[in-house]
Amino acid sequence: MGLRFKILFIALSCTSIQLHAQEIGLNWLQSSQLFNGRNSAVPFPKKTVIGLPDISGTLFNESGSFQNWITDKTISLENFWSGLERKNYTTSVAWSVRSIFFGKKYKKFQWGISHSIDGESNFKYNKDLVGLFTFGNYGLLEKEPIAKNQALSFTPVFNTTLYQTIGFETGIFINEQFSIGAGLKYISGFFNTVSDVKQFDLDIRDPFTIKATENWTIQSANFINSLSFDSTIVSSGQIGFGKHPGVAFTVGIFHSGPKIKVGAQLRDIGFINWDGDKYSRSGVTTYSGIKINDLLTADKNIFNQITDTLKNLGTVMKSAAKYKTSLRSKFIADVVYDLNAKFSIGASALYKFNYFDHYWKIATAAVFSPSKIFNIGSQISFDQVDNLNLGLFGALKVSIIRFYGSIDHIPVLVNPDKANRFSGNMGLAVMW
Amino acid sequence: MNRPQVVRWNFKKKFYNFIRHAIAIILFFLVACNASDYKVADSNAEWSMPLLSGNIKATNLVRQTASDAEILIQADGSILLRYQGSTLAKTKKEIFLPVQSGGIPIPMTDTSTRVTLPVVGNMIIKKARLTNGNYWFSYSHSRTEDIKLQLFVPQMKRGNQILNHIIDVPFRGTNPTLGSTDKFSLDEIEMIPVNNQIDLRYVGTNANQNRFKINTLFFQFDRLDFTYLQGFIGKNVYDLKKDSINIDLYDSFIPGALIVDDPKVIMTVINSFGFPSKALINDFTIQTKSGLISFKSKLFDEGLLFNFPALAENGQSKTTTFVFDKNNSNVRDVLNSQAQRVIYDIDALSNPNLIQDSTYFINDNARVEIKVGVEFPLKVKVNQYPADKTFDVDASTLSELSEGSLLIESSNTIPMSANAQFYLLSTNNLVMDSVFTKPQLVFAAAITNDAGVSINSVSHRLTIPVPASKISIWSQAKKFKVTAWFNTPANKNIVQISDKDDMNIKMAFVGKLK
Repeated sequence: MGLRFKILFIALSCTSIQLHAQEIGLNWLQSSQLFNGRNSAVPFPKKTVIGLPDISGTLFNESGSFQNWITDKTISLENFWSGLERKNYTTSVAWSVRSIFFGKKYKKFQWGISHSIDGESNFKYNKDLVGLFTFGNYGLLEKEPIAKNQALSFTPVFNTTLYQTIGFETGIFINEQFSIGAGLKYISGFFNTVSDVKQFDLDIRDPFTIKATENWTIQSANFINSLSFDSTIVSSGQIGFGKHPGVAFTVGIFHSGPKIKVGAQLRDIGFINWDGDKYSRSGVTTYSGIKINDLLTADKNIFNQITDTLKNLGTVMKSAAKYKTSLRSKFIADVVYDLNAKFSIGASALYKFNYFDHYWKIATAAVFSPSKIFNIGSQISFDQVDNLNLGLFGALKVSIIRFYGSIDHIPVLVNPDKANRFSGNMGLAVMW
Repeated sequence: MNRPQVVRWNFKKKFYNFIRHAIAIILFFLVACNASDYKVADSNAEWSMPLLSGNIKATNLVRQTASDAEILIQADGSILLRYQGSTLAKTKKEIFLPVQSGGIPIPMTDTSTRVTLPVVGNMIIKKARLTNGNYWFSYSHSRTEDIKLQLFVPQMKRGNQILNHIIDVPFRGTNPTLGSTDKFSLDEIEMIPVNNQIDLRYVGTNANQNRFKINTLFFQFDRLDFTYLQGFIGKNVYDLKKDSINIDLYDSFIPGALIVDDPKVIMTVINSFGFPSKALINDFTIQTKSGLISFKSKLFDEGLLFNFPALAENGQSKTTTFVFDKNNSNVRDVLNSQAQRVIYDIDALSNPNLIQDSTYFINDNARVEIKVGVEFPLKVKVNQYPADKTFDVDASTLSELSEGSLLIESSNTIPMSANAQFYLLSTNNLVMDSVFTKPQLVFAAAITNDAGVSINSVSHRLTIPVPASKISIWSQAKKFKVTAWFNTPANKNIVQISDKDDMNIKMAFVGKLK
């Protein structure tokens, strides 16, 4: 498998690490479970709570079902390309690992401290970019009629970030029904890359001339070591704690009635300051090979100068840059209504903003609690990509140990046409 | 008693169901995690990589072919090659050397002595302006008194005054009295001899004004030179140097492969001598690859007379051009016989028709120059003219290819086509392989009008396969040699090569990567 296919594969599908980020699958169990992303205003289930590893993640792939382009575990890029429309597609992965959470609840308030590592990557591409990798610049001419008439616009976007947080949160119980919560996190970034591609057009009509019109910048901290025509080195070495500092806060409110529980929270309002580099290119580059004014008197070494010429043409400007990125902020609202001792129904809404593309999702759920040690539920959600999802969630209580997990989508039951989206988490906690 | 059992049974069932679901869920997560289970289908991507764009200008192609020639662009854009010989020149100073006296005095045997001038060649001087010399008188007498000598030359003037000197010779008590006058300059003295003769006269007197002859009196000069001379100039042969012109135009051609339609030998004479002359052709031959061929022209028989300035045009130069072309000579045949050198030995003959009683002139700056040039207007027919170029390459990167092609696209406004062969060479210049089994057309000839002048470019695209089976050996090549053979269209007798004509070429690699 060639390098470019590895990159493409990773970018488009590797993100198939299917343990993904906090969404809303466990919201209807937040009174009894200690999952990552829980509303800080919701009282802990017990006086002493210890959250053990909690892994959550989200995979989003907009380009339809994998079944469209995977046959016998062989990825057909041609099938993948043929199924794409002429628009931008996004593939993203976000994940969070809570390593530890410790909390104490008192009569009037509660507090907790936590540590977690969060990451997110987004890749935006279009049909022509996939076509370029699939068929090559010469082969694409035969496959894509538009390529014969105009320059192709690629404008790929790639963002990635990884950081760790140390957080403190507290909840105050105003009365038996109302409580409010707030949290503050100190953030130390591991690495980050933000691309801003205003234009990246490639004219491949003439096999003897390649013309690129570019206007892009990439800001990167501890991720891209070098970016040039012939050598792009991606690596994240040892990162000093606090080199890329940031801060975030969270607020929440919760109401618990006899039958109904309502909560809302605003999470991860914050930023990270990165100390990195800025790479950029702007202008029109036309490459027709080595230009020789007179072949009869040309230097006999001209063919060996092609690489140098390309390097000169493809020079990427690099400068030190300090920049700031926002966190992926979220607004989550949820409600649970207990029909009886065993059945509950609920609804939830999610809105992500401040980083990359905005995203919203709404869901309804039913929870079945056959006993005090076991809960299971199912949710139906609908998001901005018109994707109807059917998910599962559940929790198990064995003595002081609580295990929980959720998945927002069961692909066996609902085969999405427009997007592959998987979210889920699972974790462990002890409390007494 | 029964309730706990029911509870235990329910718990187990629920727990097992949960574990079963959990395992299914975890497996579902992990299946997609394991990217190594998947592979990407073999790529059929074809990539094109521009390698070079360049051109071959007609002028540069010509320059390489005829590096010794001067390339001239004519008003109509056509290219003219000129091989220019050295300038053969003779000046007045070289032809008419000053007359040295040799220290021999001219005796003035009487009070009037007629002296014949030391004139060389068939010349009768009617007027001369002298320069760059001195004259003086020496004397001896036995009189025991002071005397006075009046010396004059009626045929020589300085300004409007006849040359006249009065010399006092005092008696110093010894006998005889010997002496000489100071030296007098000849500059600006105008001499009007009669039949190349002048009179030297003197009058000797004493204090009583008695006239007498003195014992001996001599007229002396150191050199006799002139800045202007007018008179009759007869037949004289002025020898010019033998010379030759190298022609490299045909060096790369096999016999008959290059036919220049109307080559010319051009002799240009620039003359400021004021008398008629003509060229004496001692030798005019063309050395070809197969031997010497005499250059013949009816102009030789007619006589190559040089223009010259008339008396009233003193100081001017007159140019005479003799053009030997296919209509008046055998130049087309002899040059197209693989000419390598044009050899000529030309002298000049003055007053070839010997016009008597004529009056001509020579001034101090007079000179005659003869330039011989060979010109090739590039209206030609070319057959298999070869040109080659070798490039260093590091072909090892070919090993990263599975297969591909080299694309060559040419656009040609030169009315010549070119077939080419590409060779892959080792470090020691050994041919490892050739791309084609026989040369292929790379440049198609431009479209021409009836006169053979290019009017439209012609494009041609050539695909050179780089098959998978040859990549291994080709990737070891260290040099890449291109040999091209140029031809004018078979249906055109003559085409014109113009300065704006050029061949543009673009080269790209198209292929699949491993």
